[in-house]
Amino acid sequence: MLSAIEGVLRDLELIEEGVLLRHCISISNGNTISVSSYLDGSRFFQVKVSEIDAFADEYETHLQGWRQFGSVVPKPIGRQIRDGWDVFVAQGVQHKPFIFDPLGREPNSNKIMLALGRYFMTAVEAAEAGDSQKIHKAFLDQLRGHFSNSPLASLVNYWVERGRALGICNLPVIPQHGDFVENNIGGQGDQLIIFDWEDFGKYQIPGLDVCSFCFSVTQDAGTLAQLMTSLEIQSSALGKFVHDACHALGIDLTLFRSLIPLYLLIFLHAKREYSPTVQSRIERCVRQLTSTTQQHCIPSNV
Amino acid sequence: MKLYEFAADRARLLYRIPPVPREGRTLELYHSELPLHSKRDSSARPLTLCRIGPHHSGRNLISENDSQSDAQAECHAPLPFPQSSFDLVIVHRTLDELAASQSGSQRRFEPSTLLSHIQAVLAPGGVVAGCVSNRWALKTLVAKFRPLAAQTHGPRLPGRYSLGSIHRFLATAGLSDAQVFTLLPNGASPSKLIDTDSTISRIAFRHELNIARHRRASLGYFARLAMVELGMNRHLEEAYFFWAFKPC
Repeated sequence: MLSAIEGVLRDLELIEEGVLLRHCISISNGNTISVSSYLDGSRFFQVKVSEIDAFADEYETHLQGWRQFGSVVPKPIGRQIRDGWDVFVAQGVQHKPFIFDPLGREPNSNKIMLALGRYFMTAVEAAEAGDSQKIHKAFLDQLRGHFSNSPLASLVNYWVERGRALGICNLPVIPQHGDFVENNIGGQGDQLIIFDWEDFGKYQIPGLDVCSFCFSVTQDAGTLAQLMTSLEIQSSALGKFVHDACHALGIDLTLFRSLIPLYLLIFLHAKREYSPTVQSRIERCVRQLTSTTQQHCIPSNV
Repeated sequence: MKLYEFAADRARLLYRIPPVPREGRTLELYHSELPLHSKRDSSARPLTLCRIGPHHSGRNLISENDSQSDAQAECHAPLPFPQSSFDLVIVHRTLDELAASQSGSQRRFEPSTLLSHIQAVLAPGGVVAGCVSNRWALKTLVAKFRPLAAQTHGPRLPGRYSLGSIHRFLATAGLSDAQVFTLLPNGASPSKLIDTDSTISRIAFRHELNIARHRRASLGYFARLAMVELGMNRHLEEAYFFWAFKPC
């Protein structure tokens, strides 16, 4: 594997023959291996490797993300298949993982949260022309079809209909990151860095990234239920983030709050290849939120 | 299809990481239980399985009816293959098992002796790769003071080798350009390899610590932070993965 990586780095003219690289290698439970290949303590390449043809689409979507968002995205450098390995090379970026501070006291966390607001404003600039009604309706039909044979079918039908009634199909078409979770966000000083762009643009209903972020930092139906129903949470760090993100994206805050379970179902669709643990956590959350909604009798014309 | 869902698949992947000469003729030396690889999985590289064990008091402890192996060998004697027969030799936890099986016996197991026999059957430029437990693993050291906690984690091969001893026995055996990685969490279920170069190791463990920060109590976090900044992790984790080359 390392011969293939080093060969690709030489072909891309990133290293010379005979250079000694140091590697840190992470093996996922899926099909990919992540390798940080260091030239020295400060310069490295972030390489994804797989023994199957894995990265054709990912390279393209990553490139699109980089073109749109610039320095927020690690620069994709190249991709080759070599010696049976699919090798995708991106710029290595030293960063600190983002850790959400629910109390809003941690200055680094607050800086990243502000940067996220600016990120969403940039996302709006990529809003695509086109018939949003038609595009969103087609996607929601696809979502319904995906879950039609699952135990969630009736829940999905309920929330898709609710979403339509509340006007979700009127939202603009804005490509979403698709895996916008705490683990994929980092900071380099004041600079926001967002990783894992393989799902970029596959989902275009604005609000998905906001919701998946909220889910990842809370993992808890109770907090999400409060986001849906309570006014008090609006003054918390998470509540302010949701307010600012919705404002930047042009989404009515009440609409977003009402449709959190629908966004979670879309996120569940995005995570269909991921571990059962993650999927079941999302499912549990959706069921609890649906139950909460019905208890609070939130009308469909909010 | 998830290639690395199971621990055994991830363990086998380890031996596809180091650069191996193109033919990739592979020998796996195993001691107890089953080898890591099987003939069914070896379509990409020609594979030879050899069960290796001690010769004790005149009795050959290796079963004559071992159907897994193509050959059997004694750990203190040259391997029963011609010189330059292989491009890759795998010793996955084998050195730990041989050391454990020989502990208390009159003839101590010397890894450099076995590795020099391995070196003889490697082609020039060929690689020996393996996985060993760390003698100074923090978990092992803690277990000595908390035996009840150790029992709940089940039996574990005692660590025999330190970072320094790995480099030494590879060099003594005439192998060069050794690379040694901290293997997380352990050899049975590997998920991460971190180069033991002091700078790279510090960077990587700092990152690991930052990821896990919110899951640790303050005292645990600061103790871990001290370990990271002192560069201690590369000496204190549970296992190592290494490879080294026969000079051309």
